[in-house]
Amino acid sequence: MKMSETLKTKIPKLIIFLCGVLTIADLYLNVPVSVHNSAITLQKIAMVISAFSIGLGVASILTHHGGAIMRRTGGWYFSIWLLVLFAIFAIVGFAYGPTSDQYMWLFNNIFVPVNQTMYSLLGVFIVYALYRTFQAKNIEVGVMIVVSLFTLIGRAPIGGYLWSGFPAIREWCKILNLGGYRAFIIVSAIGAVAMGIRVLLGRETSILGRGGE
Amino acid sequence: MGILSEGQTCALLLFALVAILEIYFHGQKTARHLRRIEGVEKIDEAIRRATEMGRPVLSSTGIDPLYSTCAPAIIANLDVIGHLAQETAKLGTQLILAIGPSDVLPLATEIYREGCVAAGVPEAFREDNVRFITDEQWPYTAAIFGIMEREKPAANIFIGRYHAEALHFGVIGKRTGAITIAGNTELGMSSFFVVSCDYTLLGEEVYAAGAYLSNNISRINAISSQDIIKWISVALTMIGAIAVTMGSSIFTNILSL
Repeated sequence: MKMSETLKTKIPKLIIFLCGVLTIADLYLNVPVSVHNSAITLQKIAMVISAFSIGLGVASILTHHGGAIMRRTGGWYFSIWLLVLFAIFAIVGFAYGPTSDQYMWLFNNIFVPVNQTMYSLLGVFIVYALYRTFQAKNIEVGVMIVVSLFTLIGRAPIGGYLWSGFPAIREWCKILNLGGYRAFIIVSAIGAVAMGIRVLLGRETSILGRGGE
Repeated sequence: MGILSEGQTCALLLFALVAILEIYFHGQKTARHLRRIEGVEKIDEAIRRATEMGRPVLSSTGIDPLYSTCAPAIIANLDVIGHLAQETAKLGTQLILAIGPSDVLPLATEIYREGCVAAGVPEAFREDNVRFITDEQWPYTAAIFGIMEREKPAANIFIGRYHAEALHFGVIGKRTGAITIAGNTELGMSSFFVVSCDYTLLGEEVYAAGAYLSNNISRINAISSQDIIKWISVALTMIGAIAVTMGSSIFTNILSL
């Protein structure tokens, strides 16, 4: 039991602490070259470990979609389509290489158009979200509508033509925006630093699972 | 050449201050006041609603990998996933985890499994419900669309770092009649969540969510140190603004040391 606890929590916490201290020391202090190189190596190791996990991802895809086809769950035919394309891309990629003409043909004619389609939906969704937001009746939405109107009119050529003050008001709105923007950046950074320290001190145990508590 | 890297002195001081406050408050036995975070409080309500409707709960971690700068946001989200796993297991509700980056997959799987074990319902864990998608933005978005449309989750919890796909999730969540609770550390895209989701966590609230849900006094005390740093930042900002307005650059010079 004690051995299990050591393996499950104490050793991982120690590794996290040592890796964290080394990386932080490399950032804030003028450390010897050997320490700097160790920190760089550590980052490379993290990337390699991360790359290994792709195998797990492939296993997850095959298991999930294979199971969906076997059980004939809703939309199982999409799983067949996914696995067929997965196989085609994998075979062509392994046979000819990911930069070959054959692979690029597949990429440019299958992946790129579908990708662009998804991206273009953003235009529709922005209008939908705008409509939904403006339906609400409260002070915040009122302020947002006023700012949006000034921004729209200030940006459109007709705004400046009607009154030269519109572009100026739009510019001033940017200052208000910048204040909020910076406040957000500062509090997010504080939160991230605090989270990093909690992980480093072994007090944020979520990455070790519930057993880490 | 000094011991400190150039331009990093103030950052190191801030780092040390956060660390000292974390250690100090973590050790306190009485609970400190923590302001209400409505979005986090609604997570349990959303799980109960999904249970009543007999529909699953969907959560994701975004597309950024663990070894990127958004690691703190992913870790914060994993903490929430642990809570979701525990609560859904207790209530017998399905939890679907749609994982973008492959390096988060093993962590999310284990946290889901351990959450079910901690709830006393280990059989609630279904490996099939932890799904690797891809870290490519739009295929990831399309896959989550598919899950939302086909499996109709009644609660969508998106906490972490999301990009333009944030708006898609909010809109589709609304279309499928789900409660969507989202938190984003990516500023430009937070507005997408704000306009399209039912509840939104902003900025440091994302990092506090796990501790807030845990009801653990030490952890809650530790995150309350963030509020103190925030007030110090507000004070520094005001002093800096006044100093610059009066034509003095001493303050900015000190901060850039």
